[in-house]
Formats: sequence, structure tokens, C-alpha cells
Amino acid sequence: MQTRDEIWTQILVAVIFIIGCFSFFQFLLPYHLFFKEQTQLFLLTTEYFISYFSKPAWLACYMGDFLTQFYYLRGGGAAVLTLVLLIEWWLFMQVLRQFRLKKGIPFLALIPVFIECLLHCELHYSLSVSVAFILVLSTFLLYTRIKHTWGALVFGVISLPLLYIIAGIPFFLFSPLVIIYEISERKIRLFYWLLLILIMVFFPFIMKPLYLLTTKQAYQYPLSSLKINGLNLKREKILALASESYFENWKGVNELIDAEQLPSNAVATYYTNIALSREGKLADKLLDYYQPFSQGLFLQVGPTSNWMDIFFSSDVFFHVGDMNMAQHSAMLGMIFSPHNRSSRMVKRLSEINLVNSDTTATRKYLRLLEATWFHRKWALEHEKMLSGNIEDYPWLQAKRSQIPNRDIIRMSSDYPTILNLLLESNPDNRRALDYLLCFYLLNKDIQSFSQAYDKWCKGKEIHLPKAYSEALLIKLAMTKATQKERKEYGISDEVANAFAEYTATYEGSGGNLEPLRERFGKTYWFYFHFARMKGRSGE
Amino acid sequence: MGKINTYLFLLVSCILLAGCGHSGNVTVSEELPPVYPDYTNVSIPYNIAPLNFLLRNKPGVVEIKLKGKTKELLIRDSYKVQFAQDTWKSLMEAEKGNTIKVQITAKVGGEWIQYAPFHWHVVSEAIDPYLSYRLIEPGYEVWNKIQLRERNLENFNERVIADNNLTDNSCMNCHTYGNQDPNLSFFHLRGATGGTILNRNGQLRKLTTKANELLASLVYGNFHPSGRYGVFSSNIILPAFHTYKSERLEVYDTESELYVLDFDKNRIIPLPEDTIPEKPFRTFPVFSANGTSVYYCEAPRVSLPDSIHQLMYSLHRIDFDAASCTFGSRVDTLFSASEEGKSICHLKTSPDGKYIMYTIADYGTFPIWHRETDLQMIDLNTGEINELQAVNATCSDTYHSWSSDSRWFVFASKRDDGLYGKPYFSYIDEQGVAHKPFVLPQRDPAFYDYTLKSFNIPELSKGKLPFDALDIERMYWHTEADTMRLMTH
Repeated sequence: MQTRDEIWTQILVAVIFIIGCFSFFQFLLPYHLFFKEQTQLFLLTTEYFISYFSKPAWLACYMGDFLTQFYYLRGGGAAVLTLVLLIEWWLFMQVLRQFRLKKGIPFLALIPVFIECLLHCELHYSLSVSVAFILVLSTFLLYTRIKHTWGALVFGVISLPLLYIIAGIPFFLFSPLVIIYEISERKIRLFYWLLLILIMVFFPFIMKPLYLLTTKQAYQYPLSSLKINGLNLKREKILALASESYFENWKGVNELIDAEQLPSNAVATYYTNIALSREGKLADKLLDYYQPFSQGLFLQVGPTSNWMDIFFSSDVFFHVGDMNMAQHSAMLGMIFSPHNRSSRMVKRLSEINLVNSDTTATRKYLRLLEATWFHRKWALEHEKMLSGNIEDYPWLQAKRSQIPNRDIIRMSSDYPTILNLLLESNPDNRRALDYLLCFYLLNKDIQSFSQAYDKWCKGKEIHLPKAYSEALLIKLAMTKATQKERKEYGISDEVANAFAEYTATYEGSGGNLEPLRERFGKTYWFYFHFARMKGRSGE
Repeated sequence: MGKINTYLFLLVSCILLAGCGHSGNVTVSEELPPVYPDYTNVSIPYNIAPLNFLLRNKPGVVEIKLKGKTKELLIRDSYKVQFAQDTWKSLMEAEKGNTIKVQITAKVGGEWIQYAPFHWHVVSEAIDPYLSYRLIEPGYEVWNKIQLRERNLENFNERVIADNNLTDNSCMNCHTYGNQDPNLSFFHLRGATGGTILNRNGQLRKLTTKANELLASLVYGNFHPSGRYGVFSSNIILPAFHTYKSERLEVYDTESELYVLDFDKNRIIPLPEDTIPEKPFRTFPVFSANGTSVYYCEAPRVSLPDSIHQLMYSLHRIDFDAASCTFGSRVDTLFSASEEGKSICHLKTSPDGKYIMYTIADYGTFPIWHRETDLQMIDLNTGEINELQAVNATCSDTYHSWSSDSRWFVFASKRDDGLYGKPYFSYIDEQGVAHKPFVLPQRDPAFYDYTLKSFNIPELSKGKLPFDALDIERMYWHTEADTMRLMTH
């Protein structure tokens, strides 16, 4: 029987835990949780449910994934995690009581829960593991309720392998709990304990052929990795950009770009560039931000790429209008994501096929979304677009106008070819134009830049962005062009004077970057002279 | 009390009948029911698993009347119609060779609609009872998780015969049978300790070739009817991307060559040396049903990828003498790409020796993403081309395989959504007429709606394979490979 003080202590700890845990996830890692939902696709179908039986921990995984879908809601992830961890804390308290501990139980029970809290900061750590712990702890508590000696023994021996089947590797906790409990109860049953330990050690190995798992996987399922990196706030900023762009909250993306000290990371730059390009400011503000050469325009996808880069790589193709490459990248994003299915990628694939007017393929993906809880509404809205009047959907109309109108074959990393084709098909595609010109600029290919600029921009009354005028001055200097030629490009005197000043300082300092950094650090001239790729020789 | 119970029973019965019955209140429609998968008016083998289907308009109640020559069944179900396997089997046995009329009446939005009936022609020639295929996401040229699976066509049992999770995530190519015999098959398992897995007389072997001896890895292949030889192409394959919306990926060879493998003597025999300076592309070789010829596709070199639309493969035949393992000197052309303005690939000879079935497209060597890609077959006696109009659809139809009696074939079609290949079966009658195909039935008829995997290279087999995924795991990690040596001319 608990005393009044103990009850109040528990309530106080619970309240502090609820506030602390919810605040931690809601205010420090909200996008981490959104992203976890984006990398799964929980279907409310029988086949999908049955698919969980093909691996251990089916019940924990099904329940964990079911709960993870609530991460889609703002605040939903933090609330679900808080609830699950609160249950875990309560169960740990009950377990500690079985060990006849008297004092400090609410605080001691917090220790494993804190550890779990930190583990949930890992992208690969799934809610299924917490559910698995809940299943194991509950089974242990049930075990302690059995007073009949043989009944308890039979229950222990039967429930241990069952726990592996429904909860996976957290079943390892069961045997030590039983042994500690029995020692605390002064029941010494060495043969029984040995049997439990043998089951614990060998059962995953026995089951591995059935589940078609490697030995390592059999001993860590449903954990996909044992790597612990801890809280990663830099990644959170990147995920914030990625998620807000997925939510089409471009105002939010711009706020993040303006307010945050963005990490020097290709993905952060990638979303910054997409957001700038949407507003037609890419070439004006290109060098205000970290630019890892053209990798901030198109994420590099190859055999050694990390899955998150692959996952995000389709967004830029969709943005500029290259639907075939967007589709390819979205497929890859899904294939290499942790669950090999992703609500975000399925939505993107629906949109791509909708833009391509491929009704049957669009329906394929919309049907998948219709079988979910939180994406059903989105799917039904998009279903209407299939048969609706295109004029009612300006975004769709704009996207369809970007599609190339002729077919050529190209390699996946041949970006200039497709960007040129997009421009041939639709010369008003400003996004494709900026990406083409900035691609050349960031690769310091002044000649290709100037040819492309002359082809698509020269003689047209369009705004000449900062990066372009700076690059054109380099080209004009290289070709020893006349003042008249400079005027033809519409380069302002102000920029021309700044270039003269830059050149004088550069030459005066013998090519030293420090005297130029403050005044010219965000100019293309500075980038052209001093930008080096990390890891490249001569860095 | 007894009377009250009787009245209550009558009342409940009336309510139930009023809710479920439809006599007198049925609207007769001239349209076929919105059945998915499309199982309307198809020819099916009597030994096929139940053709479970659903109605796309999701009616609350569906009443299906199956009326054959000897048997009649009335089934009431939800919008998903799933037949009991025993009931289905006895119906199929009883109606072997007959036609079953399927009459569907459904309650849609409170109204009963009787749709136009459709028919199932139950063919008395059984289909080979097993099907193997590779399950992979249609991720073009890349993979993550791949499984080869074997499905029993007479029920819904399926098992994994190879899983790349157990073989270091290596790519594995599709599984190919010889004579549709479960004791004669191969597939290529890539990766550091991979090789060609040969299943011969139920014994597994791992074969490799000496590094750099061949042009590249062995890719497309086929067994000699004796089982001693295999004919393979070795290809350097490149993927490239189309830019237009309805096209997707183009896969082409930058080099390709043919070889015969002698599994008894572990040797590789190349094709006779070319007399022309510019070696053409050669690929998709198969033996004739009697083993005396090799058919293959050949195309003159063009600049790739720029001239991909000019890359067209013809169908050639060359004699092969199994006793001496030598080729003849004369090459016949059965289908000339330059004359027809089309390109062919994926050759498969029928086991009875009458036909070669192939894939035809406007250009290229691997047109699985081309919408115009269709199946055709040549009658080897008359040279006549059968365009298989009842079989082909608007999306690609490729990767076909014959049944051992040459009366059925299976192929992968993207007709459903243009993206995900599914196995379809078609019957060819004695006159060589192909019938409307039907998709592999699944226990849950919504299965294809929710899967994100493509069925690659479905192949029929007379029986169950003698190995499983664990055998392949052992082969990959613990079996020494037999090295095949290239013989020079």
C-alpha cells in the first residue's frame, strides 16, 4: 500500500515528466517526428496487417507504426511519445515494486525512460521498440501475479518465445527480470533460470531461418541499428526546411532561412535554393548562403549516398518541371527509406503522375493514400483533380506547362541537357533558367554560363540578378570586351565599379582572400577565386 | 411465450429479407460489372486458384451466381468476393471444358443492380502449377530489397526461394527454368561471393567465369533441352532517361556477345568469329525446342544513346550441334528489323517447337518501359506472325514464359497502372489463337492496389523447386564456385 506522500510524489514526477517530455519533443525535435511519419506509410488494410507476421516483433511493430502515423499531426508526435513513455515509466515503477524496493521508485523508473527519450532522438529508433518494452514489462508483471508455482514456470517458458515473436529483441529483458524477481522472493530455481536463459540466447537463432534474417538482424530486431548519435539539432534544422517545404509552407521555409543560422550542409542549401528560386531570387541571393558547388542545386545520388539525400532528391526535379527524373528520384527515395514505403514519396508520385496526366498511375498511388488515416483527405481531393477542370487547379496548370514537349535520352546526372530542354519547351520557365545558369556558375564554368545566358536572356528585358551580372563581368574581362558590350548586358555602373575595386584589391593583395572577404565575401568574384570543394586537393 | 418467439422470428426474418433481398427491385444494367482484376470473359485453367475479385464501386452486398453446365453456385459477399477454395475446386473440376456464366447483382447506394453477365471458359488443359518471379520495386536500374519467390498457382501458397537480405544485399537476376522442369534452373546471384546458381537434377552449383575473360557478366540465358548446355549473352548494360512524360527509362547495351556454357565440362564456347569488321550487338539467345539451333537477337551498331531510335534488333537463327558443341556457319534471318521497322527481344521457343514468342517495340533492346511494347509470335513452320491482339494492352507486355505443354504462357504486363508489372496468363488453343489473359489471382483481391513491387520474369514450372532461400544463403557464403573457362576459336 502506498502512502499519501508516495502517491503525491508519483503524481508530481508524472506531471513534470509529461511537461518535460512533451516540451522536449515538441519544441526541440518537432520536425524529426514529422519526418519519421513521412518515411512510413501505414495502411489500414488486412494484407498490410498480415505483412507484419513475416518478421519478429509483429505486434510491437504494428502498434508502433500505428502510433507513428499520429506524428503527422502538429503536436501529435510529442503527445504520442509522451504517452508511450509515461506508460513505460509507470510499468517500470510496478516492476521495481516487485523487487521490494521501497524508496525513490518514481525516480529510479525514470532512468530507463530517460535513456529511451534520448534513443528516440535517433531517426532509426522506432516507436515499436518502446511498445515492445511495454509488452515485455506487462508480461513480466502478469508473471508476478501467478502464485501457482508450476503455473508460473509454464507461463515463463511459454511466454518467453512468444515475447520474441510479438516484441522482438526486448524480450531479452524478461529472463533477467524473472531471475531478479525470484531472487528477491527467495525462490531459487536454477534449472528453470537456466532454461529461460537458454531460450533467451538461442530462440532468435532458431527463428532466424523462418524470418529470413541474418544472425545480427535476429538479435536486434526491431532495432535496425545500434548506433547512438544523440540529440542532433543541426539535422533538426535541415529537417525543418525539408518538412516545411513538403507542407508547402514556403513562408515558413523563408522564415527559417532568414532567422536560423543554417548549417553548412548540402540539403540545407538545396531547400534554401528551392525556396529562393520559387520567389525568383535564386541568382540574386545565391551567394548569400553556403554553396557546396552544384550539390546544393541537385543532391548527388549514387551508390554511396545516404538515404536521406536520396529521399529529398526528387524535390528539385519536381520544382523545375523534370517529371521523369522527379519520378525516378521519388521511387529511389521510397526504395531506400527505412520502411521502403513512404507517405511523402507516394504523395509526390501521385502529383507527378497527375501532372503527367497519367490517370491510372495517379490512381494507383491515391488508392494507397486512401487506405491511410491521415492522407485519405489529401488523396480524395487529388482524386477530384483527375476528372476536374484544370483551370480550377492553377498549380497543376503551371506544372503541366513546364513538361518537355519532345523526347531525348540523357544520363541521370546530365542536368544541363534537361534544363535546356525544359527551356526549349517553355522559355518562360524561370526556375529551369536559374537552375541552368546557377549550375554553370557554381561549377565555375563561365563559358557555358555565358553561352546559355546569351541564348536564353540576352536582348530580353529581364531583371539581371546580382550573380549573373558579376559572372558576366568576369566573362567580359576574360574576353577583353568593350564598354559598349558591357552596356549591352545592362550591367549597372555600380556593379562594374565594384568589380574594378575587387580586381584592384585582388591584384594588390597578391591573390590573398582575407582583404576581400568582408567587402566581397558574398560576390560571385570571391566564390570564383576562392571556393574549394571540401576534400579536394589543394583545399 | 412460444408464440411471441415465433412472431419475433418472423419479424426479424422479414427485416433481414427486406434488407437483403432484391426480388422485383432490380435495375438491369447492360454494362459489365466494375470487376477488378479484370476477370471478365477469360479462359482459365481448371487447376487455377480462385479468381477472387472486387467491385470498384464498393457495393454493400454482392450476389454472384455462377452457372456452369453441371453445377450452379450462389454466393453472397461484400464488395470483395473471395471464394472458398474447396467450393471453387469442385466447381472447376465439374466444369472442366465448359463455360461458366457469372451473373453479378450488387446493392449500390441502396439500389440493386444486375450487371451484364460475363463468362469463364474453363480449359481442361492444366497450367503448370508453379510460378517463380522476382519481386522488386520498379526503381529502374537500382535495388534495395529483392526476393525470388515461388507461387503455387493452384492455391495461394507462396514461398521465398532467394532473398538478398541473406546474401549481403546483392542483386539477383531472374530465375529461369529449362523445359519448365523444377530440377533444371538457374539465376545469377551478384555480389562478392556470388555466381550463377545452377540447379541441375536438384543439385545446386555455383558457377563463375574467370575475371575479364568474358565481355561482362552473363545476363540473359536459356537451357539446351538436354540440360547440359546453356546459351547466354554477356552484356554491358547502361540506363538512360527519357525526357518526355510517357516514356521513362531506356536500357541499352554498349557491348554484347553470345556464349554457350557446357555445364559438364565447365567450359564456355563463343560464337564463331565475325567476318565483318564492326561486331554487331547480339543478345537474348535461346535454343530451339529440339536443341539443334540457337535463336538470338542481333542489331548493327549505332551511336548510343544519341541514335537509340535507330537501334533495332532482328531475329536470327544459327545451327548448333550438341554432340560436338559447335555452331553451323549459316545464319538465317527470321525477322528483319530493317524491313519491319521494329525491334525484337526476349525470345522464348515453345516446348512443342511450333512457335517463338518475343517482345516487339519501336526500337531498343529492353523496352519494358515503352508503352508500345507488345508480344508477338512466329509460327516456325509457316513463318507467319501472330500479333496476339487479344493478349496485348496499351502498356508494356513483356517477359513471357511458356508452360510445358505449350498451351499456356505467362507474361509481365504493366497494363494496370503503367508502372508495376504483374503476371498474366493466356491460353493458346489448338489453332494457335491466344485468348484474353487474366492476372495471377490473389487471396485478397485488393492485393495489387497496395503492393509496391513489380513481378519480374514470371516463369512457369511443372513442380516445386528443390531449394529455398536458406540453401541460396549457404551457396552464397559457403560454397566454392566452379570456374568456367573460355575456349578460344
